[in-house]
Amino acid sequence: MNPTPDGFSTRHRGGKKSAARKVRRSSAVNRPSTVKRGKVVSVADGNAAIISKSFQLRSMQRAWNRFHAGSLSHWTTTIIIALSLTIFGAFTLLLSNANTALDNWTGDNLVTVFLEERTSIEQIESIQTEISKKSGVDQISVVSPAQAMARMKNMLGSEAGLLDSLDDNPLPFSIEFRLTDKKYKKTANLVYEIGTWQGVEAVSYDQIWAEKLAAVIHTFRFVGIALTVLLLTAVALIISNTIKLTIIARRDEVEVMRFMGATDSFIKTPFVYEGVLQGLFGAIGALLLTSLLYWGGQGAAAELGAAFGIFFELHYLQVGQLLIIMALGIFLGLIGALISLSRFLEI
Amino acid sequence: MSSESLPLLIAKGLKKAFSVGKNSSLEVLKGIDLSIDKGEMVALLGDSGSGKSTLIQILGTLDRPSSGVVTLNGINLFALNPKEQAVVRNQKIGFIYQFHRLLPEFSARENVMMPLLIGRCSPKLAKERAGEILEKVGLAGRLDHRPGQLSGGEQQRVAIARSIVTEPVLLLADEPTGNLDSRTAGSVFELLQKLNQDLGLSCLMVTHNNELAQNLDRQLHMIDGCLAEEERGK
Repeated sequence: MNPTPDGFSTRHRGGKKSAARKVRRSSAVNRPSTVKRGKVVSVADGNAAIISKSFQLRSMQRAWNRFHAGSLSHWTTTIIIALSLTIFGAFTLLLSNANTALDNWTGDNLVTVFLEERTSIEQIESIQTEISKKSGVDQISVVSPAQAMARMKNMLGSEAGLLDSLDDNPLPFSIEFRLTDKKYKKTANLVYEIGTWQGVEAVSYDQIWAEKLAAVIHTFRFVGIALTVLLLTAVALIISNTIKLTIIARRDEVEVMRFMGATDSFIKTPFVYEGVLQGLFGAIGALLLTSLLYWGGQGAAAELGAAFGIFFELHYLQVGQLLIIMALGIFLGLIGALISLSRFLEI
Repeated sequence: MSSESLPLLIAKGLKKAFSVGKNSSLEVLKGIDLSIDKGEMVALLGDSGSGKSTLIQILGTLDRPSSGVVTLNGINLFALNPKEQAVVRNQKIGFIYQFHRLLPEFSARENVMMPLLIGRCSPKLAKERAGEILEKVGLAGRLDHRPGQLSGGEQQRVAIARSIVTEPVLLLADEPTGNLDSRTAGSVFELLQKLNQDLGLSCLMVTHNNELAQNLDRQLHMIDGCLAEEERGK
């Protein structure tokens, strides 16, 4: 087997007679179709399948050779694809982690009802009973001023001594409960209702922050999708342009191939594979860059989480998301090549 | 009439027009009737822009006529689909141009192997065959030279070897000696005549060289898209 520099292939049929006779004989079985008695006839299906397989391999090899020895524009395009898909990957990474953070945060769904200073024990029990009757209320408990003070000291840590100078405990009684139903509107309605009850000073719940984060994520998702669509469209056109330049640079070769009897698909397929290779390498580059961002962003994420009082560990993209980035790269390469071939390679 | 007694190539009523602007068109071929017998060498003379190259492109199925029919060995070439036309070009027709049009990154032998490899011949056999043909055109010592390492005459000989390696029945030559000095042109021309005698190859050769044309079987004159005159040579 002796592949040529252009990657033409390689099936060998033996025989010891003169080369010319062997060529005539082998061409009868190796060609995809041949002209006999005024009409073109096809070879047997099995043979065609072998030819088809070797043809694809040859085309891939030719595309790889072109890419390998390719011009600066090939690598520039590959880098552009990599950077564009990295922006997509980074958005995916960010949104995916923000969603995870949101899930963890809303998992607490803690509501705290602060009671007025002069509320009696009977009133407190009555309010607790009323709250217990509401659907989805779980783990209800009364927090005494002393318990609240202990928590605050615990939170302040080494600064807790500051509270020792207080004469009286200014903290009120409070009632804490969790909601099993995490829907924002239901929680908001319940919080509003409890806030109107007699003896209730104020109601706070941490889901309000979660809802704000959800709104931010929603905006980011929209911006991310819009940016990604714009970027990927630009990338497809850039790939198309690169393939166009390749076609122009190889126009003479295309014409030579034509008069030597190469079929349209024989001429076009390597250009398609070239586009796909650019997309594939761009996607691999994007995954490497996204990994770098993930690696570099872990520390920053932990600090951000600490600022919000939560433990937050950045997680990497899931297998499905990685596959989407790879598929996008390949798809862009394919689309770019097809656009270019349909517009600039009229055979 | 049996196909043996038919001319190898028949063109009837060939017309080719290119659109120029929205409502006008330029008629390059205005109804060409032409036939070439097996083993016949025909010169095609005419001024630049008279349509010679367009005719060669159409006869070789590299372009389509606006109307008209071309048959090769009785096969209507423009009734074939593009894939079948590619097979015909690969197996039945050889092309030679004024400029050798060899692929620069390949050696002389690899360039000659190319049509065989496109036709699914195994590389080993293609290599042997290419070596034989290059020897036949006097380039046995230049097998592994790249086009850039060959002289103009040698490059054109490689191009001739490439055009005949699949043993076509028709050679379409568009000014094959147009880019060569008179001595080299003479030797390339002699090679084509020798191949014609040895292989029984038919040839339609565009040329501006009246002296060379006189040595062929017939001379056709293309004037403004028409084959205006036909003379018997030799």
